[in-house]
Amino acid sequence: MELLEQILNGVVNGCIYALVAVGLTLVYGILEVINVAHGDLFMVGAFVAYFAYVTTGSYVAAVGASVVATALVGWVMERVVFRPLQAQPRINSLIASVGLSLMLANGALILWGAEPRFFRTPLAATIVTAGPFSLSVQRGLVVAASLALIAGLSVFLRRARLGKALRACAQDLEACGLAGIETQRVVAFAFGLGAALAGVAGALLSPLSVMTPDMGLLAVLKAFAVVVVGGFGNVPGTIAAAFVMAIAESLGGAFVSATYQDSIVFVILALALMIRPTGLVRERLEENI
Amino acid sequence: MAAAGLVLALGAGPLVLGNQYYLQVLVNVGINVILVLGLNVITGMTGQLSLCQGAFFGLGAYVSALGMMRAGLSFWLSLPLAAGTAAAAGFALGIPALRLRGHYLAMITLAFAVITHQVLQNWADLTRGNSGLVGIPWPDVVAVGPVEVSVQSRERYYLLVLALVLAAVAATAALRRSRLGRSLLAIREDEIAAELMGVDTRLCKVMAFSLSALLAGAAGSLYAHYAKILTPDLFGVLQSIDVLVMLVIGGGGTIAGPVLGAALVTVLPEGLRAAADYRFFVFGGMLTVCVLFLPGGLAELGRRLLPRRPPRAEPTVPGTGAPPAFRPGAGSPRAAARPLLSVQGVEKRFDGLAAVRGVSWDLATGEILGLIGPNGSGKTTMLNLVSGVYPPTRGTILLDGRPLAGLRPSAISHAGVSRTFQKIRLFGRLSVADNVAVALAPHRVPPVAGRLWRGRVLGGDPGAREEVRALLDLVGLGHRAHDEARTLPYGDQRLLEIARALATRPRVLLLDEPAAGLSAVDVAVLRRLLLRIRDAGIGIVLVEHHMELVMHVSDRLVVLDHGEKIFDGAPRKAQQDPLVLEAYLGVDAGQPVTLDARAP
Repeated sequence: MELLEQILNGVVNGCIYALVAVGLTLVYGILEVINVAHGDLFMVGAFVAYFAYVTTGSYVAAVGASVVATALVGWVMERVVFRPLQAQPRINSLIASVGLSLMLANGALILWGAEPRFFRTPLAATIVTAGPFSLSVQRGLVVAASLALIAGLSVFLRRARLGKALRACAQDLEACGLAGIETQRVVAFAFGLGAALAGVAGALLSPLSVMTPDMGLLAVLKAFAVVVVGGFGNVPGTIAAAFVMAIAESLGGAFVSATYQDSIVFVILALALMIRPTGLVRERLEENI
Repeated sequence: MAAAGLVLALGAGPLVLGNQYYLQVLVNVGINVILVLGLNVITGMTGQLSLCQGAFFGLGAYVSALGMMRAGLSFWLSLPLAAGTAAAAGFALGIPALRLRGHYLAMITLAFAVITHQVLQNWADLTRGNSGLVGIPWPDVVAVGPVEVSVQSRERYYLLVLALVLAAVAATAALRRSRLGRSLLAIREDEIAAELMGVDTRLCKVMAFSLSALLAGAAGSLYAHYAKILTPDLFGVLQSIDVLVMLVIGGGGTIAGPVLGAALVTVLPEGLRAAADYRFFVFGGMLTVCVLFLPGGLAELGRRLLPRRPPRAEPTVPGTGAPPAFRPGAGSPRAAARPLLSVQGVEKRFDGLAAVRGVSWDLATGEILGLIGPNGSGKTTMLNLVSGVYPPTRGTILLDGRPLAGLRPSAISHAGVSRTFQKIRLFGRLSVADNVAVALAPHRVPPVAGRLWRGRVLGGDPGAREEVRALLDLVGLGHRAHDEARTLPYGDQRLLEIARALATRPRVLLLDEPAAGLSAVDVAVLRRLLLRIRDAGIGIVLVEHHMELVMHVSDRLVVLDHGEKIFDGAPRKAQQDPLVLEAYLGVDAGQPVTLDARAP
């Protein structure tokens, strides 16, 4: 019984990991920069949802506010920090993103304090029981909304004009610029979209969990592990890895060691890097040598 | 003199002042200087972001403290043990994390910092968890001959820290000038080019990471016996980021930068205790703003304000220098019977798309082979296959009868294949001379450690210095030896790439559009240069669109079209070959068009 319970937990967490990881890989695909502050966008999403819910009492408004706020923060980051650094060595963008992460996490700490916060919507309190399963409506909502978002995203990337431009830029940003695509707009859009996905993830998880200003760090590390195991730029692979790793984490936490539950994804990451020493990603050789 | 005075002042000053608070701040500065100098090796010099310097620091602190308290070791053993343990951890972590390029190291070290903190908290039997390890003793008194060394007071401990700071400064400064140090800087500038010029980038990166961990471990030991109490929270992720802030503010890659940054970032918060809550927010802002507006940190600011004139080198006339010491051509009698380089049925597919399909060609010693074809015909792919950038999907490549399959690009470079790049890939912020020195073949120095450490080229190794000089004179760049490579005009950058490629003492030289963007005068220089290189017994593969040059210098032409070989023979015959004409001009054979100079 507990096994089922834990697997279910893993599925719910897997949805959240997938949403955060997809945003991380979107930005990486285009700029080859890992945005360390991506996890902090997840944190911002959760806190904005909390305050919006406390103020308005509407969970829909809470999710909406999260999306708007995080998309805006992501867009500003791109304009103010990542765009001017595009011509510089990539390590500079990486260092700047560490600085952004520090500012977001500690800004939240200064504004909102270190005490864990939580809120419970009626959805989280409503439990539906079906045979051996019992599930809060909020968990069902997390799964349904995540799957819908991911499905929508893959359709968007394959069909929409902007989605195609985004994939083209991930192949070769320079060539896209030469071909007349407004690459800066595409990059800014990717940042905003990735940030909004992290924000939604934060808003979806917040009624089920507690939030602290430092929650972004583990989120971005886990998302990175998911992206590496699933394959950079490989959206289906990333989603599969998110579920596998979240379920492993739930089971490991319940049956192996609750203390080191957060380390389980890193063990999987280490194993994956050892088994596939050349990396799970084919390195980008079309770097035009 | 000034340095000696500073050392004296640092040594005597605080002891005379007798202020315990200043002493403590100075000890903290010293420990942080060692930490930042360590991070500088991997992040500042090698360009790989590490975010776990604080974890290595904690590892060293706990190993040293527990070594004395639990294992009864002498401090003088537990200090090197702490440094060694951290270095070993760095080595173990570096192997998987540095195998790949890109941002793996940053994220994996960040995860390592999180996990180390958790282990320190939760392994309470050993570390006493969050209640902390207390009562860490002073270093024990040892007798060195007749002298008893005792550092059991804060004043004496300060001198110990100062001594180790000076040792760390001297060691990292020596590293920076060594062959290994130059290789690290080259990796920072362009990792792919460094590998192709014979630098074993994986080994170098892992060594750099271990060295950075070693210094952090030593700093941890120093901290433990001074602070006397350790708690896991001293070694969390934020502490690692602290060290990064010091490096970035000071300026990575230099030696003065880390020292300045550590001093400033350690002392500043002491004066701003009221704003302690905002400390990390401000640090985050400083990190971002510094990268945006002053990426070289305080060190760069200093360089701008106090420009130092680099030593001037005498000008030389292009092509008049002494001939460089080329590797003797394939000397054995058997060598004449077989080609120097043999490409046999090579195919390369990218995601199923064939860039090169079943192509074979040979290259003889002292031959210039023109490899031409329309854009996208697979010429650069061919050079990438031979130099080992990626392996062929099918087929074999033999150098002097020996297959090159499975060798890393650096090993292929050592075997005798060197190249230049279509899109220039110099080590931009290294001097012109250092660009060449990085690529110097490791032939002259003994293997293993010596290969990395000996040969402080523009300092202590006259043979190597002469070789660099000769190569620069050969391409007419002797007078720019001390300038940064990125300041050279375009044509000179192309020539420098050739000098750098020759420094590996190649038997085969692959040139990817060396004439692209050159003026007519430069092309004439290049032409003479190619003939001289050929006459020295080096086989040249010349990929080039400048038809006049190709036609004049090539002994033989291979023409590629859509990844297939359509011609192999004398240049003059190519001008009448119907397939070649069609590929180039899209005309039917038989029409009176000749392939002439400056065709597409």
